[in-house]
Amino acid sequence: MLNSNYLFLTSAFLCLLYFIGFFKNGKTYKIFTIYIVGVLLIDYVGSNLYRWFKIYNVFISHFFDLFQFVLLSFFYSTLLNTKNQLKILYVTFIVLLSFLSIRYLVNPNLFFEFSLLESYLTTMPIIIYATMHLYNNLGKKAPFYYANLGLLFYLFSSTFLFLLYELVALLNAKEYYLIIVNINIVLQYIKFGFFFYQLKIIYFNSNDRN
Amino acid sequence: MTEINLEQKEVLKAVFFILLAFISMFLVLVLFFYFSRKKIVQIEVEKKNIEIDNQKKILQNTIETQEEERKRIAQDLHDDISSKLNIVSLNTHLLRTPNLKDEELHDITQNIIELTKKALDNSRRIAHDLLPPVLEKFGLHAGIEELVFECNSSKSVAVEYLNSAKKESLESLSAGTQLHIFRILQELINNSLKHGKAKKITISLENFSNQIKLLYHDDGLGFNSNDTNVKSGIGMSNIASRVTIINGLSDIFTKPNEGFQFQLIFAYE
Ligand SMILES: Nc1ncnc2c1ncn2[C@@H]1O[C@H](COP(=O)(O)OP(=O)(O)O)[C@@H](O)[C@H]1O
Ligand SMILES: [Mg+2]
Repeated sequence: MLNSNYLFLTSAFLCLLYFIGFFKNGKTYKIFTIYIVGVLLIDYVGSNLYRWFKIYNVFISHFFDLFQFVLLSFFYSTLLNTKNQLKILYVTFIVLLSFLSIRYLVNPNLFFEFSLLESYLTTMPIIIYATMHLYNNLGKKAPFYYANLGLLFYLFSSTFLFLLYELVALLNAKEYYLIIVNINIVLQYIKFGFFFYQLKIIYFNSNDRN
Repeated sequence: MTEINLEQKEVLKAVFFILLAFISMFLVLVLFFYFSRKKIVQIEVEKKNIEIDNQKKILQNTIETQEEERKRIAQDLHDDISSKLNIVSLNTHLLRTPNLKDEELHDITQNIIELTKKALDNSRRIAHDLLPPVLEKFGLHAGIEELVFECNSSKSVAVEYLNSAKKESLESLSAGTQLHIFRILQELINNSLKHGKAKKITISLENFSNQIKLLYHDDGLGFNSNDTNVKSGIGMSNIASRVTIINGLSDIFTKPNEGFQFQLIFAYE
């Protein structure tokens, strides 16, 4: 099994680098930084929750889904630029959050179970926004182009991976377990690669402008 | 029994979601490619339109400058030649007057001689302005030298001209290309004097791999090179058209109060 500690180190290093430019850069950059820092913390806490408190990270997975959905919705609300797309984004945001909160209010027990529906509903819109952003900037230099690609790539593949993971867990197919976890680590490294490259571009360009 | 059913149900649910995710992502992809293609076509069309607009603009400018030239030539002809020839014609009519004294006859013919001489001089000057004969007879280098000489003799500006380009390279240029370059220099000098209030101008020609590089520099007021109004001036866009015609590449470097520099690279045979 690949060591996930290095992954956390890489992620922490990335967060640090992004954080250095936090106050100098615009809203989009700030939201993105908060997002990756948040993901790092949630991941870290989630993976150690059992060791620390003997709790499974079901609860944290809800938290992760919602956090990601909210932050990335904000993120794309600063990047998308046509009225219709923004309208879709805001309506989805409100409808989805209301739907989920009502769902958990009606049946709080759901909060302690994995929810395929929830993770599907919270990642699919983000994938669509990422695609919209790609589409909007066809043939020109898009802001956060590489971050967007990294997100799109990771959300795309990790959604399947997560669903597969569920299936494997249900079928008790332990031999696939490790493979999936390892693939996930690799995918995350690729994602971080995109994010590092994005940072390089941002710094390079801002030097260019001055 | 119920437990197994429950588990099977869960598995089915997971499979269902995998399928759902598959279908929706496939849909996103298909839609993305569909709309992208549309958009790419649209971008191409826009590009073509911009090109066409540019060509229209160049054409318009050409027509405008042509009209201006015509006006100028008409004025020159009217002021400097027609008026003189008019008086000549009057004087020749006077010659018909009966019983003219020798002295009067002399005065009239003298007048006619002087006026025709002036008209001749003027017509030569007008022709010269239209197309400097030096350029035609002795080529670009001599043409530029004469231009520089004329500017320097006006005393308001010091023009330095350095030519290190090989003679054959300049001679191999077609008459058309030479004229274009000459006109570009004329316009640049005009601008330096008129807008830049330049005191010193340097012009240099040099070989640059198998091309010729023309460098033009003045120490005048310069301007903000990002200002699109400036670039769309008739003079500047004429220069741009000429550069396109000779297949050259040009660049302008200028900032307010930091002079003006123009660089042109073009190939010779
Ligand atoms: N050498 C120069 N120094 C300063 N300003 C210049 C120079 N050349 C061009 N310009 C600016 O560019 C503008 C456009 O020039 P041009 O296209 O030749 O039009 P025009 O000479 O008819 O005004 C001028 O109005 C002037 O502001
Ligand atoms: Mg001019």
